[in-house]
Amino acid sequence: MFARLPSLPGLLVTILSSSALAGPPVALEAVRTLEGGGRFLVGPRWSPDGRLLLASGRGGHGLFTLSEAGDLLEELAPASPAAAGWTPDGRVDAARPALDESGQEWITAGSSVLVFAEYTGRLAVLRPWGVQVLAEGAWDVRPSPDGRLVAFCLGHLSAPALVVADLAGGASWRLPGAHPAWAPDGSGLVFARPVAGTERAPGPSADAPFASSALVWWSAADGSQTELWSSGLPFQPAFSADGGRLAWSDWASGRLLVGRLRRPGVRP
Amino acid sequence: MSRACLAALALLGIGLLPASARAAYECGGEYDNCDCGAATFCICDGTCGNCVWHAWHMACCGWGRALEWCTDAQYWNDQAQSRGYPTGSHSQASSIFVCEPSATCSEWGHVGWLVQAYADGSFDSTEQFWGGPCGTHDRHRAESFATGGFIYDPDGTQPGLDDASFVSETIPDGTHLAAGQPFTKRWTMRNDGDTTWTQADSYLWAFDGEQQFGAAEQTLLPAGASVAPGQTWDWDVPMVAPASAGTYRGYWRMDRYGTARFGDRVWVEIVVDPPADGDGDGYPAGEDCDDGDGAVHPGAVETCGDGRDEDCDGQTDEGCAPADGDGDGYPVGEDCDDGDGAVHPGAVETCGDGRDEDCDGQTDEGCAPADGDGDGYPVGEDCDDGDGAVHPGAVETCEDGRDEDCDGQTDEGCGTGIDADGDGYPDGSDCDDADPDIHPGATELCGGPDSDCDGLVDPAVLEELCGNQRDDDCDGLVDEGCDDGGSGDGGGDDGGGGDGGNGDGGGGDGGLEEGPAGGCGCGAAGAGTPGLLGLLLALLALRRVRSR
Repeated sequence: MFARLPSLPGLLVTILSSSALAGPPVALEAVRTLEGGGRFLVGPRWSPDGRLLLASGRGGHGLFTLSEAGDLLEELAPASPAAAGWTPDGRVDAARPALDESGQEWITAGSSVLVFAEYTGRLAVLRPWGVQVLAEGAWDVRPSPDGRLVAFCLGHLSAPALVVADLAGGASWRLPGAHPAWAPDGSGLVFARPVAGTERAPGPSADAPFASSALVWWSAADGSQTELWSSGLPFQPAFSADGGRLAWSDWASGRLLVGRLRRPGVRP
Repeated sequence: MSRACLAALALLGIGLLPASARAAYECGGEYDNCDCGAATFCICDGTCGNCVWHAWHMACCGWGRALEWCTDAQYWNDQAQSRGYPTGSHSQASSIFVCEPSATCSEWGHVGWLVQAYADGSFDSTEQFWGGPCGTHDRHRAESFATGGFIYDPDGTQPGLDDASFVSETIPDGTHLAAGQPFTKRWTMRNDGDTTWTQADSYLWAFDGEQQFGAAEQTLLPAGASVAPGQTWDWDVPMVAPASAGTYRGYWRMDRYGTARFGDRVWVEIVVDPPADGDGDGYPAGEDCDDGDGAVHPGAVETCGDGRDEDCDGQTDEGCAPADGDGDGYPVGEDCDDGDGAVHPGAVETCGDGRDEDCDGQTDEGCAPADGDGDGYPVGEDCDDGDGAVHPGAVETCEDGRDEDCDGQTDEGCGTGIDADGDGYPDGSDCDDADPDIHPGATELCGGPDSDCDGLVDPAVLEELCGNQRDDDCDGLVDEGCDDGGSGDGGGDDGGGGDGGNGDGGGGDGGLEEGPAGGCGCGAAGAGTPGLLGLLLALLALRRVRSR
C-alpha cells in the first residue's frame, strides 16, 4: 500500500507500506495517576534525569516538584514561575527565551534557523535567499529534535490547528489539536486533540476548551495518527528525556498522569 | 520595529473624540457597532489596526462601558487603577490583558481582549496590531505574556481568582472501615485566591465525582461565615462506607455555584474490609452461623445426630433419621430420656423409684403406695412415713407436741398439768381433777364412781379379800367366807340375827372406811346404829342379787 500526502512543490513524500512498519502499534501502557498531594496540577515537565517532574498549579500559579512516583516534594517560588523550567544540569530556573532587540526569538533547528516573534506570532525560517514566513499567530512552536520539522499551533485553543511543517520545504500537515511534544528521537509527536463535537462555548465557567479530548501520536514517518489516551481531558503531554515515558495533565481532574509509550522499534 | 498600539496622540494623549465626532467607525476592518452610551470614544490610530482601539471597542461591547481613556497601552494599567477598575494577575474571560513595554511588546506595550482563560492560565484573545498584521486576530497566549496583568469589568463577576489549596485531612487514604460504617471526612482548604468565600456569594463544597459515600451533593458555608484569602476552612462531610468490600474513592472540590469549580480537587479513599472470617472457611461472620468452627458454614454437610446446624440453614440434623442416643429404639422426641436405655415408651415402670420409665407422664403408676417406715400405713395415709410410731391409731404421747395418731391434732386428751383438786394428780391423769377422792390409785368403792380412774365404777378385782373388813366383791358382805368369826355372813342368809359382836370392831375403823351413805357404816355408838343398819340392809340386798 502506498499513499501520497500533500506536498510542497518539488517534494514527494512517499509513505512506506504498512508492512515496512513492522512491530507493535504505538500505545500507552502502565498509565498511572500521580497524587501530587491533592493539588490541581498542570503542565508537567520532566527533569533531565527523568526522576522528577515540575508542574504548575491551577491557572499556572505556583510551581511544584514531584517525584516520579507522584509525591509532592516541594513548592518553589522562582522569580518567574510561569516561565520556569529545568536547566540541563537539573536545576529549576526561569526559562525565558533570549530575544533580540526586536523581541524575536532565534531558534536553531538542525540546519535551519527559526525566527519567532511572540507578540504577533510570526514564525519564519531563514532561507539562503531570505526569510520565509511560515505562519502568523503561531504559538507552541516546537521544532523536532532533528530540526527537520517544526510543529506549531494556530488560532484559539478552543479551536486549535496543529501544523507540522517540513523546514526543508517539504510536506506540511494541519491537524486539529494543540500542545505538541516531540519524541526525543524525532520519530513523531504526541498532541492533544479535541474530540469532535465537544467544543465548549466560551464563558467564565469553562476551565478547558473542550468537553473531551484525546492524546494522539503523530508519526513523523508517515503522518499517521494513533489515539493513545482519551480519558478525561488530557493536555500538555511531555516526554521524558529517554523517550520512554509520557506525562500529561488532565484538566478535568487536575491530576498528572504518567504512562509508558510503546513504539515500534523503540526499546522502552 | 513597529509602533505597537499607539493611540491618537493628536488628542492630547488621551485619544478621545467628542461624541459628536462619533460615527460608524472602522479600524482594521472591524466596525464599532456597539453602543455603550459613550460620550466619547476611541479613535483608530493605525493604518490597518490598533490594539488600543480594539480593546476599548471590546470593553464597550463586552462590558457595556465606555472606558474613560484610550491612551497608549503602556498607560492602561495606571488609567484603570486610578479610576478604580479592578486589576489583577489572573487571566479571566472578558477582561483586558496588558503587556508592558518590553522587547516582546515594544516600547509602547500591548493590550488585547481576553476571550477565554484555561486551567493552565493560558488564554484565548482577540487583538489588533499597530502596523500589522492588519485586522483583528485570534491569539492564544501564555498567562506570562500579560506582564502588565489584567483589567476586569467593574460591574461583572468579582474579578480575581477563585482558588483553593489542600492543607490537611482526616481519614487518610487507605483507611480501613467496616462495611456500612459511618464516618466524617474533613478537608481543610486554604483560600488561595483573591476572593472571599461566603454563602451569599455561592461558595460551597461540592461532590466532584466517583464514589459519593452517601454524602450530600453540596455542603454550604454557614450563613455569616467568611473565608478571606489566606484563611482556611474545615469542610466536614458525613459519609457512610459502602456495603461491599473494596477500595473506594470520591472527589470533592470548591465550587462557586453558577460560576465554576475551582482549586485543588481532593478526594477521600477508603478500604472497606471484607467481613471477618474467623474460622477461615470462606464465610465471614454474618454469613457463617458459627465463625469459630470451620466445619460450620452455609453449604456444609450436615452431620447426623450431633444436634448442630452445620449448614447454617436454621435446622439441625435435617435429612437425618432421628437420633436414638441410648439405643433403646426410641429417638429423641419419642423417648423421654434418650440417655437411659431403660426409659422409653412401653418400658416397665419400676415401683418406688419416682421415675417415669414408660414415658407416659406418670411415675410409679400401678404400684402399691410406699410405706417408708413399715408401720403399715403408706404415704398418703401415714402423716409421717419416716416414723413408725406415727400413723393413724397410734397412741398420742402427751406433751411431745406431735400428732402421733395422724388426726390433725397434737397431744389431744392430754391435760394442762394443773392439779386443781390437790390430790397429787394433774388433769390429764386425774379423771376428775375437781374431786380429791378421785384419782389413780384411789380406793374404788362398790357402786361408783370410778374413784381410781381405771375406767370402771367398781373395783377392778371382784374378789373378797379377807381381813380388810371390806366388801371387795361388792356382794354386800364383808370378808365373807373368811375363817375369822368376826367376819362372816352374820346370819344374813336368812335374814335372822345380826352379828352383834361385829359392831365394836367396826366402830374402831370407822375413820378409815370408804363408805358411801347407806353403805358400810362406822362410827360411835349411838350414832352408828342407823348406819350399821343401812349397811346391813345393803349387804342383804347385794347378797340377794348375787344369789340369784
